[in-house]
Amino acid sequence: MSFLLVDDDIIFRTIAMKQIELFRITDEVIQAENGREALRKLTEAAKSGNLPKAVLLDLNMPIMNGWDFLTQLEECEIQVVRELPVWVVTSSISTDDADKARTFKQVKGLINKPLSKENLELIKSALLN
Amino acid sequence: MLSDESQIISESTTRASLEGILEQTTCQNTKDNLSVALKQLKRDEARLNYLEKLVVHDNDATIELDDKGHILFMNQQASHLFELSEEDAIGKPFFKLTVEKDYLNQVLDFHKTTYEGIPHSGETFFQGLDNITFLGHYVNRPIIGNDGEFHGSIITVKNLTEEQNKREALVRMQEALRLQLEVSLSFANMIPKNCIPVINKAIDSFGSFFDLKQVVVYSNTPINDSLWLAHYGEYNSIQTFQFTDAHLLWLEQHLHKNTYITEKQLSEELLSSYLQHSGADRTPHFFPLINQGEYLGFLAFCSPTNQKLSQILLDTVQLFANNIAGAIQLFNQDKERKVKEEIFEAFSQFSSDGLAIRKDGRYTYLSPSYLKILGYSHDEKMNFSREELYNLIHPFDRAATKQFLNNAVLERRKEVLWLYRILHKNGHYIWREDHFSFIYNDFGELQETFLVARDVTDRVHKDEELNRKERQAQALIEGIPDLIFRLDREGKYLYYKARKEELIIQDKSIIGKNCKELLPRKIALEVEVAIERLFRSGEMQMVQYELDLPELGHRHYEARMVLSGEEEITALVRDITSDVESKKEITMLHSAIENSPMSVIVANQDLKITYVNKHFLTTSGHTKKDIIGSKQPVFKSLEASDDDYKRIISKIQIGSPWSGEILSENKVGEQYWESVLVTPLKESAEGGTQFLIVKQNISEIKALNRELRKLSFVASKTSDSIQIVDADLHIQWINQAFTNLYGYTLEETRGKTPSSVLYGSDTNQEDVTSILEGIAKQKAFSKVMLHYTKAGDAYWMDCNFTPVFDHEGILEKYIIVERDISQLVEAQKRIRSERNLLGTIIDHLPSLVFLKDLNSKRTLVNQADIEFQGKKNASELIGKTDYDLYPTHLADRFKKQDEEIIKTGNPVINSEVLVNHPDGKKWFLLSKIPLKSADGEINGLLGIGKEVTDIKEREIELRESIGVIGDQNKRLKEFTYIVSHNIRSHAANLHSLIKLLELSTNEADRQEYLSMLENVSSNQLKTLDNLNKIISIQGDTNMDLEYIRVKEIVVNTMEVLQPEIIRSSTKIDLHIPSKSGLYSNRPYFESIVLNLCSNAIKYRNPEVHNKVEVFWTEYENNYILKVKDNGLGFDVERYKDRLFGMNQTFHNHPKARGIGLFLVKNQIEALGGSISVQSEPTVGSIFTVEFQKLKS
Repeated sequence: MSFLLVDDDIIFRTIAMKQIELFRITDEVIQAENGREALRKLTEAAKSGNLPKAVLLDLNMPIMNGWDFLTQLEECEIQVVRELPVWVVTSSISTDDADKARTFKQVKGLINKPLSKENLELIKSALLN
Repeated sequence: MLSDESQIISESTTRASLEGILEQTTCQNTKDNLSVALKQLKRDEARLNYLEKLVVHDNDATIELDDKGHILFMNQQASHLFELSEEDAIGKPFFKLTVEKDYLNQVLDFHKTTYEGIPHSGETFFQGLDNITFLGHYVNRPIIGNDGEFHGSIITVKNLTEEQNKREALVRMQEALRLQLEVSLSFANMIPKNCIPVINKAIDSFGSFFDLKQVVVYSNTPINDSLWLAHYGEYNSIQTFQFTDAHLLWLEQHLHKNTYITEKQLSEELLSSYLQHSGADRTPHFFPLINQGEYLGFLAFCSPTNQKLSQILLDTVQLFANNIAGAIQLFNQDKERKVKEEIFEAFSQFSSDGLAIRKDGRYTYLSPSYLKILGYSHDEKMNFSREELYNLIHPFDRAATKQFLNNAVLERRKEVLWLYRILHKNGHYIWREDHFSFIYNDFGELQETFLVARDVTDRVHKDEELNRKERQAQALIEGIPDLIFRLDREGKYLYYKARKEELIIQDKSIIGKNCKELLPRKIALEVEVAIERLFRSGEMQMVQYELDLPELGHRHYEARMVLSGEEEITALVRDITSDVESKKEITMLHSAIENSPMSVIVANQDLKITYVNKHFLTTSGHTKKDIIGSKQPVFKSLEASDDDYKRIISKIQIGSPWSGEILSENKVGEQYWESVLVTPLKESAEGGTQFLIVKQNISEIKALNRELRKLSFVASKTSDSIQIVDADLHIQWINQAFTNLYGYTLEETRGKTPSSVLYGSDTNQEDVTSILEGIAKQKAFSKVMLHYTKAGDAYWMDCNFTPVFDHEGILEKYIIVERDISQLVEAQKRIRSERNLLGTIIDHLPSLVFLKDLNSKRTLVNQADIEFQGKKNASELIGKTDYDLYPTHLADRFKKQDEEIIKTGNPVINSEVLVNHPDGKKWFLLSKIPLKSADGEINGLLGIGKEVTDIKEREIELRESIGVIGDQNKRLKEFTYIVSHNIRSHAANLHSLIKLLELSTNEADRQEYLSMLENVSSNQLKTLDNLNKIISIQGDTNMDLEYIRVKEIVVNTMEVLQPEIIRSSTKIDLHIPSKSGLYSNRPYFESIVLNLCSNAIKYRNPEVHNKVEVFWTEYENNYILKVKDNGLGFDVERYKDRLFGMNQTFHNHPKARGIGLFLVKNQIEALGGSISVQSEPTVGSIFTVEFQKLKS
């Protein structure tokens, strides 16, 4: 099982990797700096049949932000990619963002930073069920 | 080559002898040599034959001559060329074939060829076919024998006729040019009077050059007494040929039209006449001599051959003719000039006017008469210097003269006249009038001054004398009480003496005006007739006329007009108004008495009758004849006794008047009653007392009184009040109803006028006037009047006036019947006042109120509407439509609204209207309600406009402030978001790292976490710094403002960005006026420029050469800063919401950060400006910043 971690903050990504490794959440984490890179990596992964099980998505990123990524994801031709579960991981505490995130059906949950053992395990159990 | 050929020819003659030697010789060696030579010879022979054939059939004519120059042989071409059969030709001397004139030259050449043995070639004219000369190229090759002797020659001739024209043209062209030059030069240097020899010389060279038979030049005007200017050629008799006038006219007419006339165009008669008399055997060609469009004569010549004239000849003759025409013109002009010179000479010698010429500041000529004027003889004083002459001018006039002339020259005047005093030799000053003519060159500089001086001392003195006399006459005239006018024959005023109020026009002078313009037409006509008669007879004319003068009113004048000069008259006008008036009065009185309806008789002291009027004669039946001078007892009643009569007479004789009624009898015995008044008149012209007797027939009145009594019975019974008044409006009778209504009895009112009885304080004076007018017309009429009773109560009465006339049609009385209509009038008045009240209310409503008809024309407006429209009276708006009052778009809207209301009947209530009023924008709530007539039809609409500008403005203000609040709110939200997001993200990282640290057991991991912690905290500090910056912007309400030079800042910014610019090789274009500047906050402004420019450089499109342009433009109320690049660009539609947000980037660019624009936007807004952007992906972006001008 692998996750796709999308965030422009390299420090956050490093921490998240350590946490996922430490808490034994998944074997593998694919990283992407922004939405566009994430889409590209997903398409590649889909081709090689090695699609991650979930996407952890930051909202505020350069080049392609989280919202644009979600929109593009919805329009993706590959069904498995289109139906990937997404957890939005953001430092925003805006309720507007939360409301907006819920309008995307791939979004399974919204997690406020920082990532913790608890919410990582929550994602894992959600995926296993 | 030639020498080879001649050798062959000479050798060929020895072939036979060679063959003979060959047969005879036995010597093998010689034989061999000979056979070689013979072989050679035979070969040469064959060649010769060939050459001979060539010669015979050659295109060139070839002729062989013997040593005498006689023809031995000629080939076909030659015989064809010269039209000679070989037989005819042989034996003839060759040079007979050339044209005569070249013969000698050819002979010389021939001999040259002969004696020197040198081949010779050249060109000459040959006599050929049809006797036509042609140009041929010849080569003359001598035949020299072995003996070195001359045996003859071979001549080849090539016909150059075809080439001739070309070559001729070339040669002649050169020649013509030379000729033209020569002729022009000679004319240019020529003294005009020598033109004939020059023309002659030119004609000679022209004629000989072209080998013309005859050339003549004929001038229209005689030059040196001759019309034939020049001739050349063999026909000398040409000079005896006389062109008839008809010929000359014909030639002039045709030559004017054409460049020249040839044989075919020449009139038959002229041609035959010319050929017959001139001795010429050829037709002449005529060329016109024309200079500057003027026909001066013609040039005629006969060509040497019948060939068509070559173009070169035509061109040359044309040129030649022009030159001759120019010469003739010069000659003519010279003649004119000479005449002028003679006149000038005569003038300067003999005129009494002096003449002076001034050039370059000094006098170049002073005529004898000029000196004479100053008292000097010609010999005595030849040259006055300018200073000397100047010093002679009277000291009073010196400066003025100098200034006047300087000004005249400055103004580039051509001619001026100047009067001044100058010292005569005799020591007295004379008056001189000088006429100056100034001649200027092309540059407007004064070149020469011509001065004609005249001694006008006598004239000046006479003028002075005349002035003095005129002044005396003037004083005399002033003394005469009559008005005086001097007029010219046309009736124009030359002079007048009158008081202002006595003139028709008083605001300006009448001098120079024509009396016909000023006087009424009828009077003007009389004046005109009188003037005409005056000039015809010379006798004084009198005209009487009347004028209505503005101040004096109607006046009578008598004008006596006399001649006061050849072309002028003087009119003495006397005001005879009082005379005329009194005379008129007498006439009037006389006619009144004469035509009086009463009998008037005047008797003297002895009662002898001296005057009776018409009426007396008609009533009494007397004639003037039998009554005047008689002592008829005209005032004795038939009923009276003699004693009674005597008593009356004695009474009147002591000066008392008597009146009474008498019974009279006319001549036919009819009796009638008369009332009589006898008045003694004292101090008559005759000394004694006179008696005026006035009698009136009262028989009818007596009868009428009886009638009246009957009428009054009826009148007394009616409820209408009735008055009977006499013609002078004195009440004679009233009825009972009158008494009942007004409370007056008949006794109280009789003899009084209705006005004095019935009118009161509120009786309308206009009504009274109209009653008087009605009565004056003597017709029946009615009028509503306010009458007062004796008790002072007022009643509205409808008064009917009916005139009553006597049997002679003279107005006798009026019957006035009145009816009380007070109630009706009061009711009307009440309606009117209610209407007034309503009007007053409408007028004082603050809203605009108006009524419109179905065509949207205003029929009523209130005061508020009048004031709003900037008018003074309702009349300025009534009948106007909205198109007259509002701009078209608004009027269109109103019109549509009106039509809708009229169509549907539905009112429009409170529609909002914005009107541009001179006082500013005005908001109205406009309601329009349809108006319905009694039968329910819509016949117009009522409009009410309520001004709500204040409310509306407040509403707009409110809306704006809501916008401001919303804006601030949005910014606050954004800020909160940024704070929460940016700070939280660092905080989250810190939290996570600390958690990891806690859990970590591995020392290497711990080290990693610690270094990350350091990173995170430093990032957090940076974020806090940025936020701090933004907070400081948002909270900064009192920034330091200073004057900033825009260019300086942008240039400095570019220096800061220099490394980046170089690295990216960006081209920077600044479009900033160097003096532009504004009051602003320097750090903010610098930051704005830096951010926008660095973005433009940073986000370049790697595909194209990066270019950044910065524009700065100042407008009336604002400044615009534009930063334009051709970089990556972005989709504005997509990103517009977050463009200026924090941490937003749109470029696929690794360096994109996203705090810059957010900062810039905040700074711009803090400076009261705004920012907008246009962009397109891969094309570029334009950021536009607008700063409002600060009001210092």
